[in-house]
Amino acid sequence: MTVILVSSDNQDFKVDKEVAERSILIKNMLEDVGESDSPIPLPNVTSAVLTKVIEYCEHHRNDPVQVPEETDDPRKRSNDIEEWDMKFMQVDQEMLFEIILAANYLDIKPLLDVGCKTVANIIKGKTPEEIRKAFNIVNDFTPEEEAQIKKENEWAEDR
Amino acid sequence: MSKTPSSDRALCLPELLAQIAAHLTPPDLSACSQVSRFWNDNFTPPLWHTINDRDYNWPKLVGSDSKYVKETGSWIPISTGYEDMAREMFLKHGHHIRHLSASNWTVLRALAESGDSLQLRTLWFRLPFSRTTTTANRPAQLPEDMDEKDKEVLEGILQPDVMITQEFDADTWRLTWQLWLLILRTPALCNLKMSKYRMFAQVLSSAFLRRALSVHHRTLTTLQISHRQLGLVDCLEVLPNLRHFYTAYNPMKVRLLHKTYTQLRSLFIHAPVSEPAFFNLLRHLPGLEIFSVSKLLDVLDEGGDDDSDWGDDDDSDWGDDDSEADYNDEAWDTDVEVSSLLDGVPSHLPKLYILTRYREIDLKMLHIVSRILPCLPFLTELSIDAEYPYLGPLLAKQCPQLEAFRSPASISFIQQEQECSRIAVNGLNAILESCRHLRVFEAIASRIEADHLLERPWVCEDLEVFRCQIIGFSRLDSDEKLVYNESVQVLETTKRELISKEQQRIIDKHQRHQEQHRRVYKRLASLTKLTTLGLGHDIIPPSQRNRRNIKYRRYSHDTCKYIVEPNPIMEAIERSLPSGLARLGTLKNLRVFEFGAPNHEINEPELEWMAKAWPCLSGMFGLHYVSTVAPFENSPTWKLRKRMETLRPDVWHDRTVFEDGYSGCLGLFPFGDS
Repeated sequence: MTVILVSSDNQDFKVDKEVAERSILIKNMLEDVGESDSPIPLPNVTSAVLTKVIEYCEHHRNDPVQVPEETDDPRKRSNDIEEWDMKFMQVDQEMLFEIILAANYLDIKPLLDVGCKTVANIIKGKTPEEIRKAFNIVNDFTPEEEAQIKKENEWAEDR
Repeated sequence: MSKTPSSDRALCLPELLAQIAAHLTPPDLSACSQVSRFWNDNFTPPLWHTINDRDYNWPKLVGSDSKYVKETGSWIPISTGYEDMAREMFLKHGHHIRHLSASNWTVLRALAESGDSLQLRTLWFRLPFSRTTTTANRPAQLPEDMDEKDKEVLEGILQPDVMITQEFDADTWRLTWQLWLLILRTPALCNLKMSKYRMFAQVLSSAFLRRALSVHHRTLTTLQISHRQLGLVDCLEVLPNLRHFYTAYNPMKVRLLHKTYTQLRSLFIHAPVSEPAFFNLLRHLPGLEIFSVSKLLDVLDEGGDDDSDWGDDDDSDWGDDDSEADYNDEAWDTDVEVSSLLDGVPSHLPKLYILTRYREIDLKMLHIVSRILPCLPFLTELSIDAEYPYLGPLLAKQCPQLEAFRSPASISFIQQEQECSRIAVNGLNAILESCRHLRVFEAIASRIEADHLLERPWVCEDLEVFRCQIIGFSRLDSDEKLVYNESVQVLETTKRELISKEQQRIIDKHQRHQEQHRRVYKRLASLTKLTTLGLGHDIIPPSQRNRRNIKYRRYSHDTCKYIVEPNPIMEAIERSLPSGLARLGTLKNLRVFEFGAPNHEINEPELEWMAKAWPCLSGMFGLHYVSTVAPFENSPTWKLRKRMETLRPDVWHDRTVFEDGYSGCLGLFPFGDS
């Protein structure tokens, strides 16, 4: 069984129901609507992004449902990204965040997770200034605030 | 659709920032929190989520805030200049902390004074020592000007008639009631561990403690407390969700169990437990998955005066004058058939740790173990830090399901009796012969002789960790090597008849050496799932032989004296390429290789081979800095280390490359909420 997804720029994507249902949003919609051929509009996702998202869902169509991690200690979480996902995420930053936003909107947890890991890997080892530069963020601290936070965070510097 | 870049849209969503933060450690979280105000709001909570004052820069900042004064034998407080800052930070950010592990006074005090807004789930504190001030010996009481509500909460906290002694000074007392106030006002607390607190805890009344614990009766899953009057029964009655219990007192001293409690999963008693008490616990705690005791006592051995002697994180330093019997409420009939205490129903206990440390081992305990094991047919893990003769065969027979055997101690039975030692030397091989599910075999202080091993096939094909000394190789000493080389030359040029008897003996010995190595390496090479291979223990060099506590013995027929503890002996397996090391090229999963020994014969060609043959190798133990060997720099080992660092910069050289059996057992404290 297939479903038709419609991107924000009005392109139709015909995909297997099983693939589309990697998105919890779509899964819930299909369950609510019941048997229906009507296309599903996705006004927040462009065709370029939807193409990528579908590629991901196709590749992971048979993955078991992710079990939420037990621990809430960030140091225990694994940062490993499997090879295919790593390659899949080798896109420009604009697309990376588009994918993350789409994964968030469509509720595809593993994709969102891989996206966030990729962003975390970009951040790792960078100074605040380098992070600002990487993501085009404006420093809105006063010099005093900046000094205060630096002092408060002294404990977290690497030994 | 908006035209703003996707990164702008994404990075202003708090839920996304939280997800990103989950994959970062404090140094990176700290950098993020300094990016912008919005990022600061979102990255500060994860930054403070888990605090351990032994991590990162904490030790440097809060340092040692007490100084030992030799003359008076006391600790006095000194200022690190960080107290005000710490207090300010905890007031501001304390409500973000979920898991806190603290052993520093500055941190503990900052925490204790940070008010009511804490939402801790884990509180683990260790008081490293008490401090002596001029205000010592004042009767213990709560301050007069204390808030009435606080006073009410803390009512009855003290045992009647307790004086603050020199060791329990005013500072410590203040910190104690402040911490208990905090504990009582932290409703979501799941894990509460109080280490090194045994002496301080005794001033608290057990009624107060029961009341304090009952406040957390829904949430508390992990508890470490060592209090003479607070028994396991009390805790189990009050805490229906208690999963993990740690104590430095034998909890049976207070009361035996008379009904079944299903909640408990792990029980760590850092004290000796008598055999009947052990069975009483087994019978009434059917959910138990880990049972750890420091010693098992015979039913007649009631003078259990030696409470724990544990390493870093426990109460051991406090020496204990407690010489009561192990259990004083119940009289045990010494004729009781022990196993009948289980009503003939075998226990389902999977993991048993008997961790005596730095003690002489008596054979009595072996007898106790031999009575206990038949009642534990489902045992999958046993840690016992002594080597007993017959233990191997016993385990092989009684515990066929065994998956992990650890004997982490350096005490070796070998020291005691020559005859037993021969049995002990090879006894553990029986486990490898019989337990086909074995995955972990950690006994680096133990030895198996090559010939013994080769006569008996192993069945444990899935072995992942093997750490044990293989000995009994007929290795040539340096003189014999010279003779051997000469003889070989003679053989090449002249006739066999010209070889002397002595030369022939050495040639035969060498052949035997080659054959033994070929076959042992073949055996090891078949264990393709190995991730850790340890073939030699740390060494003590000859220059250190006069140090105290080092014992020597002659080994078998050899004339040399060897250092027994923890030194390996000279007949150890040779680890050179000519001896057959390259057979281990099948171990593609190998991550840790350990080879400390005086005559391992590992040189540059061997390192070059390892660098290529073991792609997963991440740790090595054998080229590490040994504090007793001076100077390390420019020593042959140091040069080899440099070579290996060039060949494989990703390989780590340190004790941390493997969890030794001991820390493996102790590292079970669940830090999360589960």
